[in-house]
Amino acid sequence: MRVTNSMLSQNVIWNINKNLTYMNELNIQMATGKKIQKPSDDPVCTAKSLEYRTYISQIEQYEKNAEDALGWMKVTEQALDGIEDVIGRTRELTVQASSESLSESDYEVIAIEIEQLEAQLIEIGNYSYAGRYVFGGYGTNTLPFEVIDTPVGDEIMYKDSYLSLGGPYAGSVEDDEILAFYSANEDKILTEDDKNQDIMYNIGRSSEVDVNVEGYEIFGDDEKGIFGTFQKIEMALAGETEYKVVNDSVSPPVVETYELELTELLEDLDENLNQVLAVRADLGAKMSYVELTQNRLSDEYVTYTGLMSMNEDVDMAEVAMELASAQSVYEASLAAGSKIILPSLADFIT
Amino acid sequence: MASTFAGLAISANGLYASQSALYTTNSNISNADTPGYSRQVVNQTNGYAFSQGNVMIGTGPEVVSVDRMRDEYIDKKYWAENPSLGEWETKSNILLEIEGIFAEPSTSGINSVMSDFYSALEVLSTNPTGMAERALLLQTGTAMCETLNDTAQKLVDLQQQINNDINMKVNEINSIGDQIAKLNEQIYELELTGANANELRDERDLLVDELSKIIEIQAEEVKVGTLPNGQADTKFQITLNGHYLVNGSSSNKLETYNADTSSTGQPLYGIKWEDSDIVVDPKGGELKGCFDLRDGTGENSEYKGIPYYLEELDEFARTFAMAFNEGVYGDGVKYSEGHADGYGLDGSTGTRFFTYDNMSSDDFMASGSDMESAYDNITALNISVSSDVENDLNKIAASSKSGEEGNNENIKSIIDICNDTKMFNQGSADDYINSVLTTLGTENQHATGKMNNEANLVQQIEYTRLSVSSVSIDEEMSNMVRYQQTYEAAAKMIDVWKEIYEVTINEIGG
Repeated sequence: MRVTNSMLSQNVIWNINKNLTYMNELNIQMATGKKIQKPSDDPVCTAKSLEYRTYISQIEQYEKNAEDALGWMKVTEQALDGIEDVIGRTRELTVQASSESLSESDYEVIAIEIEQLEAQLIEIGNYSYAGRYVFGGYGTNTLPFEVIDTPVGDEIMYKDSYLSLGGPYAGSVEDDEILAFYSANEDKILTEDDKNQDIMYNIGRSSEVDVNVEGYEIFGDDEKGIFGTFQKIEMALAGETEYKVVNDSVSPPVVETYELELTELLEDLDENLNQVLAVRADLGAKMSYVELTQNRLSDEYVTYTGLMSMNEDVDMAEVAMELASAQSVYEASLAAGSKIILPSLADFIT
Repeated sequence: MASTFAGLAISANGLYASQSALYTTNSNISNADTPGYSRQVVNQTNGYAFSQGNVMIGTGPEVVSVDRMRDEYIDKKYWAENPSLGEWETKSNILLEIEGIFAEPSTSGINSVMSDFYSALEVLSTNPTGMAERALLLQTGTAMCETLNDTAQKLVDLQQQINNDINMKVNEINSIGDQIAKLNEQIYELELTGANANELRDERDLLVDELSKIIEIQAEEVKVGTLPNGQADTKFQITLNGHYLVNGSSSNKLETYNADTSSTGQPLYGIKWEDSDIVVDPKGGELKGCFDLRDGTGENSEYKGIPYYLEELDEFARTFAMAFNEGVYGDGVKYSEGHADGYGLDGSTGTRFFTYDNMSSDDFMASGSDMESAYDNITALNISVSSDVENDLNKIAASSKSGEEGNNENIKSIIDICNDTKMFNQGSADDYINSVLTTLGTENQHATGKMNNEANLVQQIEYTRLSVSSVSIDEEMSNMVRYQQTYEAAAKMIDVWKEIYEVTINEIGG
């Protein structure tokens, strides 16, 4: 086989080019810190890298959601705190009021404070988190609780319905007035549709949490609820001896009259407090679930960013070594090439 | 009986021969780097002899011809292998461009705009009444559509660019065919006179090299008869798909015609012979690479070219839009509540989030005879957010009931759809895009591998050819020294004869 000059030079160029290409690849890896620049560099690695990115972006989002959920729940917790305090103070006042040695003016002072406490309850029921009312179920933009004046006394409205249309009403109100009011407003009671409006947040690929407690769950939606108890206390302080409720389990509904006794109302208050505590226990469980999930999410975040880095990041030390060796190979090929190309017989003929 | 001056004549022959050899050596050295140049060798014999008494005396060398050192068989191998190199080089380069168009893995590709869109859905699910959150969903949804539009548009542009390349390459083939036909004529004329057309033949071989990279051809010199002088009469012919591109001094032209239209209605060229309607279908070379990438649908063992990737993107846009809007997946089954089933803040329902060409939801649904055919109108090129949502953020249907502004059930149902692995055969929307990219990566890996193998093969053949045909400076230098010495020796002989003649003519005559 003849070996000719063009063969030599082509061969040198070919090899120098190969070395240069390899060096260029390593240079790009060094500059970007990534093993892959395009899918064909390593299709499997690319697919994995894209999957990890998606996971990580989702985990970041779930972390934000969990943070948001906790924020909402903390507001709820503060509200429950407030309600417990109000019930506690009300109990004290009720105990005071049931002692025999009170003057008329004492009663008035207590009655005023009870009214203020009720107003405070309404205020708590209207707590909001980031501009959204937390106790209104899906009705986050409308004020959930308000007090309206009706012919049969002040009534509590919850999401434009009567929280407890069945009473209690003061004994001094006539039965047919109550029944007339009842039948006129029968369309304004809470339906199943107004209830169970769980606002669910995704805090993981397959875990979600309902962040909200609805007003009726805490305050009750019948005469036994907190507002019912308050109304009874206020009636008793105003000197009423009976209260009336509408029994709608029979048709047509009938008004039933019961005795009003301050000491008995203490038991009702305890019942109301238990209801709040039950909600609170449930909320506490949910909060710790979210916190647990947060820990899991941050673990996952560390795991997946680690996996992603392992999958697509170059080992800098390794690449630096490879680059150094590629450089010396390249330089060697240049040196060899220059030696091969230069001399020929022409150099030695004088 | 030899002539008195036979000695001079013999010396002169020696001088001529050495001179020719020196000229040839000189030319070889000068052309050492000329592409396609084959080294030339002086073919000399000793001339006829005359009888001197009863012995035969030689009359010195006679230069018969100057031949080029060339191995036709190696050329044929080169021309047979070169089209594959052209084909895979083209494929690898175009696939590299397609990879650039998809721009993955990066922070700007489809994958990451989808992630942003999903995040915006999650954000909205935690605050369905927030206008900022709704605006974010609109903006990320628009970005996702625009990324799809942009990717598809760039693929379509690339398809057109390849189409123009095909036209250019056809012109190139015609021009090379033309040049070869002219060279054939010159070579024929020259060789009829008994001269050598080495340089012209080199030039012709170089042109065939070029041609063989563009398209697969067969080239050979065919004996067609006998010349009056008894030499073989040959014709150099190049055939393409069984037709003559070049036949001796005549060449046939190819031309492009509008064979087909692309998905966007642009004409796509086919190739046919100018003088007939016979279509030319490249079997190899750069043109085959171009055709495969421009037209390959990936079906029925076709190559996966641009139409394949466009179809994959269209399929994605259609299926994703339908799943998102209706909760109906690729298999036509309704799995859950989509955007159209939910309610906006204004109580509106039946709003489609994704349409095409910025249509309103109603116009979009009316664009087909039924739901399926309306969605058939959606492509990656035209998918958009509906004008209803664009003009009124309240139309984003986060709620599963009218009048419940804080209700996020519908948006949560949509999030589940987006993550559902039943949406495509390949899995979820993310999985689908990943599988397209994996296919693209694997295809280009394969093409690049093929290209490197072919490059090695062709390079190997090229080395063999160079080993036979190219100039070795060392060899030429040693030849130069040799011929210089024979020249000097012949010149010396003339000196000797000069002295002899002086003696015989001047002394004896005096």
